[in-house]
Amino acid sequence: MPLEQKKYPVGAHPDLPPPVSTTGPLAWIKTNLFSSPLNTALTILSLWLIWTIVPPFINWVFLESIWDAADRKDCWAQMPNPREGACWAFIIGSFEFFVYGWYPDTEKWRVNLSFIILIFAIVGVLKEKLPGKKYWLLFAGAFPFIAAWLLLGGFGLKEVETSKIGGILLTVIIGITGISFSLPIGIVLALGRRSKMPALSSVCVIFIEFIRGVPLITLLFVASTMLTYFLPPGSTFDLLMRVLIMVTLFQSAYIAEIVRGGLQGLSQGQYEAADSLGLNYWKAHRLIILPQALKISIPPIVNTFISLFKDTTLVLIIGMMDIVGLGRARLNDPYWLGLAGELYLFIAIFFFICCFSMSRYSINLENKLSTGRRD
Amino acid sequence: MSQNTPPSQTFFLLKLWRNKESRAVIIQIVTMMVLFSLIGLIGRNIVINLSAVGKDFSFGFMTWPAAYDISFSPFIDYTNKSSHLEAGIVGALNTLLVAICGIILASILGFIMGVLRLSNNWLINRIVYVFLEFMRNVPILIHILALYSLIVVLLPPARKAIDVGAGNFFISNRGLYAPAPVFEAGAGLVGIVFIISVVASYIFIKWAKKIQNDTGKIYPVFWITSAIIIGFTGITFLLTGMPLSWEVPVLKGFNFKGGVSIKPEFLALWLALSYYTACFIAEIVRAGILAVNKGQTEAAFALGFKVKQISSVDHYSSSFKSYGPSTLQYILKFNKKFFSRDRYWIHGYNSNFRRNQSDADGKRNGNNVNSNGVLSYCLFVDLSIYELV
Repeated sequence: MPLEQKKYPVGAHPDLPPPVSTTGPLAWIKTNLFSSPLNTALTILSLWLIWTIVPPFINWVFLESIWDAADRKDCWAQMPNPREGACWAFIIGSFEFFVYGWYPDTEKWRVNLSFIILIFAIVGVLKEKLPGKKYWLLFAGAFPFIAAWLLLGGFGLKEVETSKIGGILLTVIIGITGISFSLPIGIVLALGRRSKMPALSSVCVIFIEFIRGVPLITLLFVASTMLTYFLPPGSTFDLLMRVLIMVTLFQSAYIAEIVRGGLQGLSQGQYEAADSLGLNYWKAHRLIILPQALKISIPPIVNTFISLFKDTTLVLIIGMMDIVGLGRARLNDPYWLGLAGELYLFIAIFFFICCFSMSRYSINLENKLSTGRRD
Repeated sequence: MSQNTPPSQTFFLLKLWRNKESRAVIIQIVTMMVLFSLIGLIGRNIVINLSAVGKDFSFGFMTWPAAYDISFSPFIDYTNKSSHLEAGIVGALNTLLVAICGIILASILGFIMGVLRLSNNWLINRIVYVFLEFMRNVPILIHILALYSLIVVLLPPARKAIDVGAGNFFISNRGLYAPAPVFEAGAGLVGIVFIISVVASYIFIKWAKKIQNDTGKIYPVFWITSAIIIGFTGITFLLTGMPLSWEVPVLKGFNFKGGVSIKPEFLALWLALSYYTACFIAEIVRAGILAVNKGQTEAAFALGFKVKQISSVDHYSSSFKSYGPSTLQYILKFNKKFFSRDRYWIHGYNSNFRRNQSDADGKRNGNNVNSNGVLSYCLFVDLSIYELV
């Protein structure tokens, strides 16, 4: 490009572009990757790490993997290098088994229907501005009972025993039930703990501290072995019901602590303003205190929900077949022996998708809420 | 008020209900009545159910021989004729072992990852971020099972074990083989001297800090304490004739003899729990470091601190105050998970709950073992341990 020899008055020269190495991609690379000797070394180390891990992994997962085969021998026969690729035919062949467990084939439409209704209920609860939000919330509140009717039967639908429920269906049932029932119980416990009546508050404190001091597995063991002794002689309780009760109680203690933190985060002025308006305890809490306290405590509540969802895998230990249990049972099938890598990767991806979306939602919510607060 | 109607019974109760204090008393009395009747009902059910099955509630089963084997018992000799109590002790010791090892590794890894997550280097930042996010969102049970499967499937059999430590460390699908320390006479003295020098250096650190606060004089604490500990211990070690030798694992036939073998169950459990908890500790560390006010760093620079001093004194000491309690809480939760991890049961590595489960099985076999006693004992012991911790 020929140099412009045009003469400019002082101060009127048009701006020249900045030097090449100070803006744009080159500058970014220089500051972020190679800014100091240590950084340069770290960059080279991480590039080497990526080079050794990622291409073989992609090769195993995608390039040399087989998606359609009859059994493991067939799978490996189709591969140019046996065992160098993943045998996804294992997952695809067992996919329905992993999702539904032993649910009878003719009734699977009920599971699909309850899943669709679940999506509607979740959208109704989580989406901010919906017309007729009150009806959405009522619908979401009724959802657990509708789903219970759909999944378990009775009143016109064929009954399905709870022992036939397994896999992802079981995980989702335990997770959703635990989450939806523990929230109201937890709020009540938190309010009870903060109550001025010593009997109520001490009962709530003892319950909360007892449950929080004990790991979930202990409670699951109580559910599976001892709980039958607590019931009147002759009556039995489904294992699934007992597990659901224990998980809900466990979760509600943690929710109670979070809500209590939210209640304490509220300034005293709100309580006094409610008093000055002449509202009694329940009206004040329903209209003024709880909406604000719950808004503050939503992000930690979502965090406990995520860990509850992950802890549903613990039921494997008391013998219930969730996705991990079914997967391991399938691993021992002689047709598919030894395909542990594919199985665990599949389960890991399933949990990752669920939990990561929940945590993204929580971060999103936190950002939305923090701009709305005035302090 | 033109009429004087005598107060009726219902009017009096209504007045009681309207009055705040008396209403509180009524509610509490009702709550207590409901609670105690519930407890009474449950107690009655327990007694009836137990007597129907023919058992009573006692801790006597503790002295009966346990009918099962525990495959990993490095501290106590355990056979399947030892009592339930010994089984419980073995379980608790195994749990403690995994817990302590795990906490050490998790803290180190977590701290490193937390600091790396804050690095300026975009690649390192993102790689650690992807790793953390993936590991955190997958349940720990899957980590443990997957790692165990990987160890068993991918590593070679013992005959072809990989040499990872110049002929001293071997790794195979039966575990990690490491040299075992053999302590001869005099090692006890070295140990005592080591403990005394650690205590002495702790006292010295406290004293040096006091001097620094009073007069501003800074002693090179790190070098002095290292000199004390290493120096005294080393001198005693040499003087007692080096009472430490190593028994190296040697391949004989199909397996290794000698040395210490770390089973794949233990390895999988320890490593998976460590890096899983390390992910959470990394987030806490990152939050702690970010929580330090930027103004503090700038003030430290303005005062003329060198960069190295700032990062060591300023950042980590004040950020530890913010991430210390949450890390401790996470370590306690981690401990809780350790105590409860029945992976042990899945892999044959035992803890409190394996014993519990076997007793429950024993009940079904008609061995007259009181599973309720076991469970209540477990709950009681675990609760007291947790409350202590």
